[in-house]
Amino acid sequence: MKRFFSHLALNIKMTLKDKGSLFWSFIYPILLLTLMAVAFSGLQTERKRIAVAVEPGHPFASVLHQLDDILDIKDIGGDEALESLREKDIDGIYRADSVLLVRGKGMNETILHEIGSELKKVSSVYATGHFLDFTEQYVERGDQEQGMLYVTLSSTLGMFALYGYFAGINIVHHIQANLSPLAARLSTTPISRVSYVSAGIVSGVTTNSLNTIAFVLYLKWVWKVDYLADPGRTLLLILAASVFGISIGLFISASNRWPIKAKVPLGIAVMLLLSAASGMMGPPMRLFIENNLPWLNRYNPINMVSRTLYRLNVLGSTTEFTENVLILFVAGLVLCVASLLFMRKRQFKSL
Amino acid sequence: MTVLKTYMKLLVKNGVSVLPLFVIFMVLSVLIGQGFGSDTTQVFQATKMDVAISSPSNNSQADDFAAWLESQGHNVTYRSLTKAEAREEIFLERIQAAYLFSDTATDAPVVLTDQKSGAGYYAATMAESFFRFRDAYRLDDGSIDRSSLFETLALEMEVKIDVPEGVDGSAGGINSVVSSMSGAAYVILAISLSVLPLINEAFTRPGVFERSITAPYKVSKRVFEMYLGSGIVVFGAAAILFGFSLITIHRHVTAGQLGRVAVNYLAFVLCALAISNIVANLTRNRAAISAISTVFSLGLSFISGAFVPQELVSESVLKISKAFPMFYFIRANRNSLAWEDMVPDILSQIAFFAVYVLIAIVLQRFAGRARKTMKTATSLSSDIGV
Repeated sequence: MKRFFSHLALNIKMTLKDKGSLFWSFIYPILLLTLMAVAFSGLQTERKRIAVAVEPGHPFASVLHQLDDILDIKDIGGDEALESLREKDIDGIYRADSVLLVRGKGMNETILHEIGSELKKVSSVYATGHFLDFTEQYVERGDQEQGMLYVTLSSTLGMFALYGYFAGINIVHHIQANLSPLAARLSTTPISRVSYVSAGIVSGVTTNSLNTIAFVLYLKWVWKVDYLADPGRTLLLILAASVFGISIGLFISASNRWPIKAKVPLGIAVMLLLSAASGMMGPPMRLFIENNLPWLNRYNPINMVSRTLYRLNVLGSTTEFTENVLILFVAGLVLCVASLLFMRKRQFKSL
Repeated sequence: MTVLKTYMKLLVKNGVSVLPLFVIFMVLSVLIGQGFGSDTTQVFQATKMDVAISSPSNNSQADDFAAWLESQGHNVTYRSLTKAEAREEIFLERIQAAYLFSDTATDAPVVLTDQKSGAGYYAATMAESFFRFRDAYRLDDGSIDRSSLFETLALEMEVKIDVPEGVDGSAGGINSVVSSMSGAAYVILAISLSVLPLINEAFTRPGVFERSITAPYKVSKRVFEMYLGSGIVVFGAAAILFGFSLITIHRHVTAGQLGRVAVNYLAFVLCALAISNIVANLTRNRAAISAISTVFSLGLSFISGAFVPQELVSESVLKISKAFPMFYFIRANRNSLAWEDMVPDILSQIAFFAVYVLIAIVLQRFAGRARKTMKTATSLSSDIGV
């Protein structure tokens, strides 16, 4: 046991001294999360008003001016308005001849069309002697946080939760004699491989889990995005993800003789691809995957972690939580055992 | 051509780490492009939504509303959903809004949607106005005058799409062009920022560097061949990426628009090449090169609106992104229907390219001096056996 703790302390010390791993496991995630939060935080606070020009003489001009919570009215007309439309400064022009001129067919144009049509309907209702009650609330609005920020941040956190992969790779490159000069030297010493590997796994899981918790706290305290509404389950999920991440790193590192300079970028790129499929690069790509390759996201570990994280903390739902945590733990265990088989004591003709 | 040959050999030697990266990024680029569909017709159509209606049987309010939504072209599904289930469906993006009707006719239906989004606002106001109009056509006996109601609801404001003169292509295809080319831009930046500095770094290793400077090989020729090598790598990768992007965009663009997009892409690729030369001169540490390439390419893509439309990125962030060429590349693609709209942004990229080349040259001179001083003072004479 004493030997295990000595190896554990050694592993933690090496992790903290390694500037590269410190950058990838801590500074890079903080940078990326900050960039995302800065880029999309404006979306969470309020809905952007739609810029639109209303030409003088439009029959509904006065009513349109009252809709200032949704419309950003510009009192311009003619060529000036047309130029603004083409410069993309405004999304539409309510022309004096009651025609709405738009640039495309997006949601803003649809809302402008809906507002214009509704005003037309209202005048028709009053013209036929009917009455519209604007004081009554006809629907109850139930809000749902479905903003881009939550989707992108949860998949980014999912990606970082699996960054134990890099610790897994390092452990094998320290102990498998045919992978690095350090490992070749270590293999001639009476070091206990089981103790060294298990200490590496424990230190990797611990540091990766702590890092992920630090990111979650950073998002909560600095950016007011709360992924700790259900702290107990969230921490268990992070732990399961870290175990899986380190196991996959062990497996990939131990199962082949690729150099570390290939395994690290490969890990970064594959994780980037999987997190993009999970929604890190915006919802359209995730939707494309869901519609065309649904199996990919079903078994995409980053998607499993990010969805569960979102469900637990934004929707307050535990759907798929137990299933996903069990899958991550069991898969991690299987990969660990397989890696240990690859790492068993062997004799090399030459190193 | 010895230096060029060595450059290519080093590229092949680094193939183990470069090729998987390249393939994965290619897939990423295609996926980013495929994420956005497009409609090339020039007739206005309101955005259609996927919505779910959950109501007890024989609820005339829900039936009327569903019939009207379907008549408007929305995709309506009838399911019995609790609030939690509806939230889950919205989260999974199977629907954009859910309308939950209760057993009691007097209770207002609940609209579940993201109220901060345009779609959420639309879904809620659409329901609100429908029920308001329905209430207006309530007769004395409590029944609804459905024919008058639906006649009124059928009234719509006339909408026209502005098609400026000299425009070549359709506005509907722009989303597809922008997303595909943005994906390609991100990937080309990531590849050139990681591959070129790594190969250049190999030229500065002890042994190779000493042999290079003592060889009877003109410095200008060596530098030219290094640039030629990096140009072949970046333009080769760019050409492959452009080919991949064509899979997505060829159905949505005219030949003229494709040409304009290609010119814009060329300007951006030049910028990517120049930036990677700056990075190559800034550091020779392999770990630092990986870090800079990943953070810079991904970060710049996020703030410039490569993954999400530029309108969705905060104003303050867009102001920062204007200091980099990717912003202008994306904006030029958004304006690719007319040549004159694109020219200012393409010129901006060329200006960036010129500035970056200047910076790279200055850095190269400083880096060269530092290396020469260091090597001659310490190791050069012993290395070459003098």
